[in-house]
Amino acid sequence: MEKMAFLFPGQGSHFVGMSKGLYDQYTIVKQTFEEANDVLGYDLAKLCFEGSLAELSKAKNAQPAILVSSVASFRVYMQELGIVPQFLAGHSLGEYAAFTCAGAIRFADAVKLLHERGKMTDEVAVSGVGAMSIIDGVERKLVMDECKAMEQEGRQVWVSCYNTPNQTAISGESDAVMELEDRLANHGGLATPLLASAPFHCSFMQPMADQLLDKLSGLEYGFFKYPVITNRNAEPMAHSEKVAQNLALHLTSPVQWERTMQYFKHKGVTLTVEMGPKNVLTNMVKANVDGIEALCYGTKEDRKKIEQILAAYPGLRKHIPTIITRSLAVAVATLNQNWDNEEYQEKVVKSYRKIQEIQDRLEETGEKPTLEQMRTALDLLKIILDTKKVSVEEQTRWFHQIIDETGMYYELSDYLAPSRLAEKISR
Amino acid sequence: MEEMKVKIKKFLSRFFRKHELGDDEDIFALGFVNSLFAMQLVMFLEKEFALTIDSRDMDLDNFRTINRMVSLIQEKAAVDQQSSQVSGG
Repeated sequence: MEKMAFLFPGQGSHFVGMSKGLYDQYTIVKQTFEEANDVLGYDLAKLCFEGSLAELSKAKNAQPAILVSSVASFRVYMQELGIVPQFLAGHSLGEYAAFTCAGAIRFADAVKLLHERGKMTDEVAVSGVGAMSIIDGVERKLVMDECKAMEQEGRQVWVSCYNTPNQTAISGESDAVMELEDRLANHGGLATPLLASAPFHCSFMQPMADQLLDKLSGLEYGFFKYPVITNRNAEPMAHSEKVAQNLALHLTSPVQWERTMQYFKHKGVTLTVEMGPKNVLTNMVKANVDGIEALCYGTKEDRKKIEQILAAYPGLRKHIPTIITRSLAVAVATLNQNWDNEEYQEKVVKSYRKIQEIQDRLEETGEKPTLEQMRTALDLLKIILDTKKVSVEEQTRWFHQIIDETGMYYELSDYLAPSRLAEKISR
Repeated sequence: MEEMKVKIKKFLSRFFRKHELGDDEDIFALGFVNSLFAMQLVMFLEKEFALTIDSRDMDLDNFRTINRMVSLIQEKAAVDQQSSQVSGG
């Protein structure tokens, strides 16, 4: 059986026309872009499809655009194929899409957050306090040694991404970055400066990290459906309460992509699927490890190949959760704090049985649940959770998770506001 | 036109350090040029010369040398002028 990891690309993966193919083909992609447009208050979709490239490339646009495109790809995949990954990992900015698709950050929050983060990035870039360059063609070790040598001379430049054994990024003070480029060129290194970029993943980003942490601390984080292998230490993370701190530190710590790929290899991953506008990370997988197939769901040819590979495992599709099965699971998984046995029997037990009856019928007929059955199950679940005295915050998290896991973002979005739900049921 | 060349050369010098680029020198033949470079070049030309490079112009030959880039900019400017005359008239 395939063991899968999903990869999410970072800055530079945008282009004019990104996600247009999927947008024209799938309603869920249109809805995802529409939600982003509503959150941002401007037409991000138009910018993605028509440009100009200069406008789209501004970080305040590119950062949310790459996120939306990645989440849209992921949602199409889950709807069409639905076989779950073992791990998620995003390169640099891509870590936000990984957390979003893992269920830890809500999509609307992520869109808004990345617009804000992008604005901060643009300010840092314009201020010219630092620079960032991609270095190809020299070994990681040499780049590290040269950085150390420069540090000893009192210069500020660091390795900011360990991409492959022969590709790194360097960030730091602008003159020091250029000087290091020249030194590495003498060893056969090739530098590609990222002109409008901030000096990401080094201590020059500390002021922005402080600002960002303010915004991150104001968000609510959900449960992880899949572990995210973080850029900072190439280890799995699945703790909602650590996300904010992690993403602030992420700005000042180097991206350990090479180690992330080795982690996958070590854990027996056989297939990586890149969820983004275009194939950026796929070649990087091959440059790091042997024996892992790497494909990009955003490109048509690769999409076909992924479908073919996964068609070999029809049994796996059955495990895809529905609103009904998830409602049953959540009804059981939550703690009861109501010791009135009569009320418990009347509301919790009876409601649970009613949901179970729907499920029994579906299993008999082999049909998928109708929207009406889904709504009935969720209404009954709401009664169960209220009776068990589960807090409003926890209920909100569960409803978000159920809807996220089943991909019913727009059909059942009214269930995501608990107060509205309470009104609806009491009516 | 000379002014355009100076601007383009200045931009390219950040990428091709320690190499004096000739007006007809093939930048893609110099060795390593990746998609990140290509993207930044397009962005620079769009921004610096206030034009929009669409997918029809995205042919490597249009960007191969400094002189080719200058021709592309002039072509685009001429088209813009014509269309603005039509709409203005």
